[in-house]
Amino acid sequence: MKKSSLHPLTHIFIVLLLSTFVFIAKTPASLLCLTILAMLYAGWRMENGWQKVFQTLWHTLPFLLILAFFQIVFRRKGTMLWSYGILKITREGVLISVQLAARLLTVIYCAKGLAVMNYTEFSKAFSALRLPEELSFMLSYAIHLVPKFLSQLKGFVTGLKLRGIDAAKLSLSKRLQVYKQLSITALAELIRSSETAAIALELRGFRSEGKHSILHQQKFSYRDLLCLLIFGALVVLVIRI
Amino acid sequence: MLILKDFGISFAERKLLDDINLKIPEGCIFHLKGPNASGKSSLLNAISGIIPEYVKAKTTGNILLGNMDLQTIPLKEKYHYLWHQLSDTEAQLFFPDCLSELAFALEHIALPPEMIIPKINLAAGQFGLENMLYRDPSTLSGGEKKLLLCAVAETINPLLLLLDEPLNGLDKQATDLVLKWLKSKKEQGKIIIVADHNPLIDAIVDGSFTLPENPRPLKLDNSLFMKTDLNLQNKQDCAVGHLPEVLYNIEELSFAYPNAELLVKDLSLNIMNTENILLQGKNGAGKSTLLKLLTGLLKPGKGKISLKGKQLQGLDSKNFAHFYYQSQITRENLLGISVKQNWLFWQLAILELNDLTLKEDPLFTELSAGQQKMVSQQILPYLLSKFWILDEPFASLDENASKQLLQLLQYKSQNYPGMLIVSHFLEEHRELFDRVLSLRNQTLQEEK
Repeated sequence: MKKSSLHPLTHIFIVLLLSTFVFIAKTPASLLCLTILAMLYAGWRMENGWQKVFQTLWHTLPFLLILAFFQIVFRRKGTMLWSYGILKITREGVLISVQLAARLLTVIYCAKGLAVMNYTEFSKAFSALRLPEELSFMLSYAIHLVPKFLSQLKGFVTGLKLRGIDAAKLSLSKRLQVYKQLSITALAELIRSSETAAIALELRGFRSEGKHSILHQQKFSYRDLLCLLIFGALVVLVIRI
Repeated sequence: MLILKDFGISFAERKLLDDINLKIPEGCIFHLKGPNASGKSSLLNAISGIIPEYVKAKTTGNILLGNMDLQTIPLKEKYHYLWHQLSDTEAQLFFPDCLSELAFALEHIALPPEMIIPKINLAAGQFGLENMLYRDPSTLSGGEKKLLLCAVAETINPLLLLLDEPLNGLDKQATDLVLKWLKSKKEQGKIIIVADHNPLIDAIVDGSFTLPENPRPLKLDNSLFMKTDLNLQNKQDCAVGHLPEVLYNIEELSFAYPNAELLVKDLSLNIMNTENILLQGKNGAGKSTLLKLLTGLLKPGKGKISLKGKQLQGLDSKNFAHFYYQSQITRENLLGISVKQNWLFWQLAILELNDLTLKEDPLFTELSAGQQKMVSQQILPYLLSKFWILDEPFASLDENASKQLLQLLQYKSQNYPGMLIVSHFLEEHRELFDRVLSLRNQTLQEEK
């Protein structure tokens, strides 16, 4: 994870700003700008950020294109742009597909930017707001749920390879059966590991009563405020486009 | 004094432990003994309160620490009185760096920050971890993780210490460190309960209690480990020929984890397919990392590894034709959620395998650490013709299971030679090996 000198709460606010305003924005230009901002943010936050940003785009692209195709082709109401037989493309269809793609991408990049934060950072952020540490644990677990599940699954696929099983060479029905079983196992492991993590933390006083101290206290500084002001101004500017 | 009065544990309708009466005074190291699955971990879980707060089970009787009924205190407040080191080390480490692992409990005790750092430094120094405070715990070796948890216990320093397999996977030096630490805790008047199969613990204990065998143990197909059945593997496709040839050719190999020092540097080595090799080294020397490099799980930073003349390009299912690898972490060697499911995955890999003759199909979560290890090793007799790469295969096994595995290794070393094993247990069985290599100062040194 890249170290950031900003307060973790600043990062949460940035992500909240982007992911909220992308649902308020309506014009394609503002949506596109917000998506680019989210991409820039995720690229800045992640290790090998730019590579990962483009990888995500590449992996999401087929889904986005399918989504766009259905929106464009099957939305019949609105100003006609092009038609051929039963196929019709309307201005509204294009607009909605752009909106959907931009919103989805922004949310994905925001989640990626937030997923680099660990429990300690969530804890710092929420303790600044005097929120209970259970919330930090829950949110940090929820944010990492998908990456953890995928990493579990990857571990099991490694286990298959170590047994000489090449899933790609199995028949489709067997492959589906194997992946179904591995997905169930990954899910079960995820639940078990969250419980063990809770036990491990409680054995060290997690959720205990009384006052707690913080080893590395991080205060919300003028830099955080400045960053939020600039970011907020940018987002408002973009919305007005 | 810790008092267990008429104490018992039942899972659903099944009684695991019954009528346990123990009195353990302060300043005492108490050894909890028993075969795999006898309930050692469950008893420790019950004392700490994980049972019944997290693991649903019924308990009877009382647990008193002095005049205090431990069962009335919620788990989250127990850290004032006890530390429980679980046998599953991986599960107990949570934070991105060792410093945060050590600081967490101290922050909850509300120790002022200026007092936390000296306390952490002292504890880390006691276990040789002073240079690892900013390292990600997941990159530590198995032994180092154990030491880190001991250091956590040292920072909290409660009256009662419950230690489940604290010596598992430790080298001699680290074992001595932990034993010395336990003696010092005893002198400080702590109550220490240790469950560990390592016989070295017997030298320092003041008392022990042997749990009876589980009334309903998992009947693993142990006949697989019997010599008479070992001709089964002849039916398998023996990819490794019996003629000696070079299996691995390692040239100027170097490797380091991100933000860490080099573990191996310019290492060159040939490994024959019929060689029996024991790999030794201190905890954290890079033994497990070297095995992972040989399997393709890790990619070399510099240099190259050739397997049967072809450069190893990461993990490839085809390599199973040449070797079989078992990780130190048992769960990584198991697929599925139950014993039968794991076997079904093996049947997918080796079509000739018969079905398991098990009446029940227990979930892995229902098995003890030792039982899980045994399940992961059930396949070994079927893979005798392959080159074995095993990382700490004896960890968590009780005396009986260790004896069986040792017999299997003896059989393989004589009849189907070809293995590379990392094990602190096998240091006393060097006769099984043609070569004993020691990983020291980033390089391998031949000891035999």
